[in-house]
Amino acid sequence: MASNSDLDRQIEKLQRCEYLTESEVKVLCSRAREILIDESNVQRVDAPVTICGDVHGQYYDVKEIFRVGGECPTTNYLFMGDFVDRGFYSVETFLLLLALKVRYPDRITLIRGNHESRQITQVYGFYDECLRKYGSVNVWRYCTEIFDFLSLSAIIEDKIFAVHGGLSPSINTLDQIRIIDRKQEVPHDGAMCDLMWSDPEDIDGWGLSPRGAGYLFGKDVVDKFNHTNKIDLICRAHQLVMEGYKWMFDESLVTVWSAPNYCYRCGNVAAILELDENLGKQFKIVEAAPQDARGVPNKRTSPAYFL
Amino acid sequence: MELGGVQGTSDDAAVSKLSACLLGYYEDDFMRIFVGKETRRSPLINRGYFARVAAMDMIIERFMEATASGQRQIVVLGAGSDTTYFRLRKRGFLPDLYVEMDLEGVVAKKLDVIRHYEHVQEALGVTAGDVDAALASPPSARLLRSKNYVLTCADVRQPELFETVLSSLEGFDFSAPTLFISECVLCYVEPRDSEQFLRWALGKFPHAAFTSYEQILPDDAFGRTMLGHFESRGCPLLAIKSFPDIQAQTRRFETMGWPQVEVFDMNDVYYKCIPRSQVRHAERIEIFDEFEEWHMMQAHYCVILTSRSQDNRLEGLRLLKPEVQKESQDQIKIKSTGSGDQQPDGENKPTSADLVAPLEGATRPIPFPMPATSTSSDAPANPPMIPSAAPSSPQENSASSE
Repeated sequence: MASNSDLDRQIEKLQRCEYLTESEVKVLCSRAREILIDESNVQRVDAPVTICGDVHGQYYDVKEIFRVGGECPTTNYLFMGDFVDRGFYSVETFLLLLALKVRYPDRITLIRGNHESRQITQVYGFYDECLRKYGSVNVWRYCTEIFDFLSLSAIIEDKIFAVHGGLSPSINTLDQIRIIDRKQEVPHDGAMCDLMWSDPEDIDGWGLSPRGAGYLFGKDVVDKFNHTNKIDLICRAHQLVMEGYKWMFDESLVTVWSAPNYCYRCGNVAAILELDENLGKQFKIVEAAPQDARGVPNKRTSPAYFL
Repeated sequence: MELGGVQGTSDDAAVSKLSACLLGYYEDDFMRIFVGKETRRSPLINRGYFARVAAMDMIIERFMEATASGQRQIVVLGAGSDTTYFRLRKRGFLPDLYVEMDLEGVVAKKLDVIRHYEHVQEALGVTAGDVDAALASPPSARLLRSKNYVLTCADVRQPELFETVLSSLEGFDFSAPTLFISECVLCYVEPRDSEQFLRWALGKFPHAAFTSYEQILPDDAFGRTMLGHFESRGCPLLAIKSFPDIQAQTRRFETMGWPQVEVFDMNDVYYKCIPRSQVRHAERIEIFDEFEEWHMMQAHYCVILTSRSQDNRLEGLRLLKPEVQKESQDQIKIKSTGSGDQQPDGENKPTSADLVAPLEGATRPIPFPMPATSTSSDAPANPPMIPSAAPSSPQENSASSE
């Protein structure tokens, strides 16, 4: 087992956007597994905490989040999933967050997004990136095995429920989430799938999701869930919002999006949500990292349009 | 006259179109000849090219239907690596004359590609000698010609030369119905140049139709990023500020005197105009998890279809068929398909298999096409093109920058 000094050295490497060796990743993942396996499906998180939405492999923008929100462990973080895919540095991004998790387990919480999946990562970039950077799929395999151990949601001071996507028609109470056997690939339907795939929408009740997985849910569903579980707010990610965050349903739900200029194409800003010890809320806007902070300009980072 | 970065856009488009074809979004036996290294694009890019090709196919089909009784011509501006000719030929759907126009450099490149492939020459109805002769001509006079097909040089910014070139083509008839196609072409030229061209076409052809696929909405955050991108790759969108939205595009043609003008953004084209069976087929091909971005991207592209005909024979040439106009306005919503009274466990719930193909286990990832699980009876008659040379291994398929 690697010591904390090894880990600190690895974090330093990752802070420079250098990736770890395959054997280092293997050890890191096995240490992470020991920590994550004990976490609840509804992981308790203490305030103050800073909540982040999707980051999607945009490594330099994650560094920007830490610059704006404070470094971990000084700042306590909750990342709501979708660490990988789309951006060009999924490996570095996920390993940095995972290394911080192993080093400071009580100062950073990672919950699973729908992209933390074997299947999605084969379509949206993480698989290809691992193959390109390591010449084999082993790192992808270690990482996707760890995805299965990530918690499904978090509850902050018993008042704010954080989840990647949203609610499920199969779930009324947090206890029902607690009993899910999460240590598996994201299923195609059912409660676990819905938590990662669903979206809020201005409808009554439940609706079909155009994504083909999860559901759309309306204000009445949120009101009932929040009332049943005695919570004030659902905090979720999963959908690009141009201003970085978006309130819905009389401030009973908020979307937080933390990938600025998503896919190097959308021109949006990102946001993080800072909760103080009294659950006072403050959004901080995060702009895309300036070009000169991104190291050598990479032709690969040019976005694609229809030409 | 050169357009620098613009010429390179055709190569990138070809890579994306091939990616879509190999996955089975639509059928194209010839796109491969224009692509060096296959690269798998993201589902959004694949679906976007599919939507564009489907829209252009639909327009061509309606043009051919409207003009079935006599001679008709199609003129493709900036034809680059366009393969529509081959696809029309396969369907037995060729106009009397299919004319591809592009800048000298692009034409030379296309000739060079044609020279390499006997089956391409055969499909075009030309010989290797014809291609060599074209390549040996002075750059501006290069011409490849068969009965139905023409490839030659012309610049839309010089309509008088354009007219000279067309006049010199045996069998080209200015009085026959003629469809001009401009996919991402006029957006790269100054508005005064495109106006001059469009006025020329309107004055010269008694039965003319013009269709264009181009960018709009330069002023929001996505649009500003898009503009910056095209500028940095050396092909600034010179027209977009003059015609920034649907209304401005419509006015652009109406004020010139085009009597029938339709402009839709690509969301409307996708959800209201192109055949539903094709859309359903396309949506079964890949996992798709980029809806917000998809709608945003599609909102920044539009299709223009305008025509005028002295005897109204092009009246039926429309993006949105009048009989479906009302219906689709009422029923088709772009984003949410949810409705309050729908029970989540209702039988209409799409199974996840519709978008998410069955898991094949961690050991064997699905690097390329997931099987389309098409079961509907209105699926296209022809099965999607299955990559004949299997898509290269994931190693070679990496590095997709979309």
